[in-house]
Amino acid sequence: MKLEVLERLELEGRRVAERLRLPLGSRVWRGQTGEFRGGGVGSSVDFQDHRAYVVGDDPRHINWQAYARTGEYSMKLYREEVRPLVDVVVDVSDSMWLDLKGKRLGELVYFLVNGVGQVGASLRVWMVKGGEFCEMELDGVLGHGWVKESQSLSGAEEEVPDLSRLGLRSGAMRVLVSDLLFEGDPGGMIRSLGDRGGSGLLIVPFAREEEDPGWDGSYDFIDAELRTKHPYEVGAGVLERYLASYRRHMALWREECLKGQVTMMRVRVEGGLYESLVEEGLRVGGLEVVP
Amino acid sequence: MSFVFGNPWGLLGLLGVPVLVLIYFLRRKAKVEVVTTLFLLKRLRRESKGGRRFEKLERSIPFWLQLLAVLLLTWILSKPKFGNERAMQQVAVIVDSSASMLGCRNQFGERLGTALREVAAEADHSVFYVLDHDARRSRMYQGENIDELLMVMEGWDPKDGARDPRQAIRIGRSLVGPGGRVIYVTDHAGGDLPLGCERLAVGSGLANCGFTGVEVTRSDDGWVWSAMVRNYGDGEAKREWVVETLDGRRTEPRGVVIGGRSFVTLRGVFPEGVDRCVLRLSDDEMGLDDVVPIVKESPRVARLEVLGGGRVVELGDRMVEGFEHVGEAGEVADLRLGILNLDDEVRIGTSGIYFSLGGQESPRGRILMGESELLRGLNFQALKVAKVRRWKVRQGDEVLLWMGEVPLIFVRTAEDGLRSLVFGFSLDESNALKLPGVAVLLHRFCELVAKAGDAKFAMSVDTGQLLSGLFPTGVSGDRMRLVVRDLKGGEKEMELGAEFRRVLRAPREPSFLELDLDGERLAEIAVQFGDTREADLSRAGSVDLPEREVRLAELRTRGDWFWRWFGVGVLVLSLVAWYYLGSDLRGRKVGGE
Repeated sequence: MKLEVLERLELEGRRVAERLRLPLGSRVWRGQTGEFRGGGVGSSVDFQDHRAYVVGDDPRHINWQAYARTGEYSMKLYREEVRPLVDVVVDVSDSMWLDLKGKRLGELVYFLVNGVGQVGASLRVWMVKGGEFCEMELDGVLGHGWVKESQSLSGAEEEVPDLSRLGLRSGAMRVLVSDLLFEGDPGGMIRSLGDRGGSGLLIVPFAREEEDPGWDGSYDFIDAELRTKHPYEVGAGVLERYLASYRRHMALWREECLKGQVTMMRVRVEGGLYESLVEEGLRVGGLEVVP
Repeated sequence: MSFVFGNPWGLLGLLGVPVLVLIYFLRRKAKVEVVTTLFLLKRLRRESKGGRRFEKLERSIPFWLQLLAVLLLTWILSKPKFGNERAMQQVAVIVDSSASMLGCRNQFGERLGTALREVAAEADHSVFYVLDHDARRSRMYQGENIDELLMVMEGWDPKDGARDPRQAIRIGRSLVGPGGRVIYVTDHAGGDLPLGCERLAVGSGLANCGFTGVEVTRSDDGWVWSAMVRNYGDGEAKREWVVETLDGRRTEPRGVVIGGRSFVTLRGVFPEGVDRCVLRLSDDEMGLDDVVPIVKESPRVARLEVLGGGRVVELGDRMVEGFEHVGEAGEVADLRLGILNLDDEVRIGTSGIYFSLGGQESPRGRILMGESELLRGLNFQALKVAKVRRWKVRQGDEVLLWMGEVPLIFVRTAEDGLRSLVFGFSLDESNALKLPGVAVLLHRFCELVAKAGDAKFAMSVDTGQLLSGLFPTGVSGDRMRLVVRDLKGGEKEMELGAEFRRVLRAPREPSFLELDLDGERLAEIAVQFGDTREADLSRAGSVDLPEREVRLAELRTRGDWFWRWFGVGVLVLSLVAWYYLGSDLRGRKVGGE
């Protein structure tokens, strides 16, 4: 993918990130001080409660008005503000680079990186391809080096990515960008997204020709990942069975996400990024509008 | 049930199947497409290991439609036939009953029996219809038994003249239907027959001799006969001839030698004291022309009585002398010739020809002819008449000729049916007697009167000839008696039924006829064999029925009754396939856009 194309995609991702972001504000975070409401008491401007003064409390938080009325020290308690953790895993298998889906992948990566960066969350990015993966520096991502890096991965396409090997952080929001077009038990991946206090979000770009290919006739299908040729005769019956199989495959992932309390949102690769994200992202809680 | 192909070459149509498959392989090219969901397709287990091309055919609707059309077409072309469990055939046998068949009469039964038994062997059941070549005659036989058929044919008596058998063949075809056989049995090997009619010729070339014509004239020596004898064979023939009378007298046999393909004329005088006799040649295979009965011929005449004098007498003499059907009246007259005044009534009791007595006015205007058989082909435009008498035309009068408004010639019919020819002018004031038309008119009228009269006559007719002109007109059948006297001495009366004038024919073999009116002898007639074409047996030949191997298969099998529907099916399949191919092309075009 050419540099100017990547720059255009980055621009689009950044533009959309000014209007939409990951649902970081809708959950209680724990961790380093930051801009998001934490689970404990902190130094934010958000008033939370009162309690009696004990030695060692910061005298700046003594409620002097209450002391004037009661003659006892009481403390104003404020919400803790923490810095969210976001782990983004990008499936860079060959099927993700096909036509419009590749562009949408680029837009999504830039959208996530910029969006997370704008809220000051701690972000780590991994690229996975089959059983192989690598972690990208943020500069590398924003400098568009991630594409070249991802293409250097030589993981076997037929292997299901094992997220448990990535070292995802505890309590982090784990975002997986993948078209899910591989065989295997989705339960393992879903559990990896939601375990150890993490919250998972599955962003699934999909193309119309996958959902409704409209095949009719003789085809030599080229596997997008293995590059092998497969002759097929597709009639109405075969097409119908394919569509049913596709729907079953996606329904299985959705069911596993429901079980593992992982949010799954599908993103159409056709059309603008914003419209595609809004179409399902806001409804399922995968995204929220930037206040 | 057995099964055969009527046209095995039609199976070559199956070559269309590989051709069709080849065309489809060449025509349809797979589209190449990169997919990300191949694992889903693999799940469907639809990937064929090396059988993709056939799968392509499997789902191609037009291919299957065209394949079916090719198979149906092959089926139609190969003419499949299924075995008939009960094969039945109908056979119409048309028999040539012309006299020439007498030449092969001896071998006729054997040849016919052999041929029909071969025909019968082709089917389990055969129904035979035997028809005469004269379609008016009743069916000779109908049934399944060949022996019975041959027994019936033993009484068959072929003595007709030559006849076109097509009408009888058509009737035979209608009897047996399009699937039946029609066989024409004759003695001639050549000649055209209607399509589908088979020929069985049972004749053989014979050298026949016989009388071909006879003439009886009256000369100074008395009545003389002159008979021509012909040899139809190539070699010289020797024969003997005699003259026989009905009372049994017979001349001594005299020999005659006739060269090949040539004629000899025999002459002699009538035997003393008889009006009729028989000339007879020694017998050969064809007996009909070996005997010829003859009579002293005298035509039937109208007995003319001339009334008046002058030019009328002159005309009367000329008519008696020149007209065959006019004779002098004796005690009885059938026809009067005279002159009438306007005041005179046309005389009753006798037919007449009358001219007017002097004219009174000069006629003006054109000559117009009426419609009458008497005037057929005549022209009177040259008739000049100075003066005419204006006769009043009565109801029932038939005006033959008008000049302006004046009737010039008319026929008046009396209440008793007798007719008179009346001229409205006198012989002296016209040029009528110089006109051929007037002479012919007079001749025709005299002939009419003669045929209605009862004057005695003698004549010759051909065997089988219609006798309608024989009987006096206006005389009922119960007043007449017609007797056939054959040449062997037998005698038989012919019935004069209601339609005798229209249907009665002369006997089929030489004989004498005697016609009596009110108990009096009116006519003696000699019936002579007259169709000399049938006497030439040298051109007779033999032809067997053609081999019928294909027909045998056809008879023992029945065709596919649904082949027409299959034909329609081929058409429909082709149209539907064409529609699908068209929609396929339309779809590609849209996809390309």
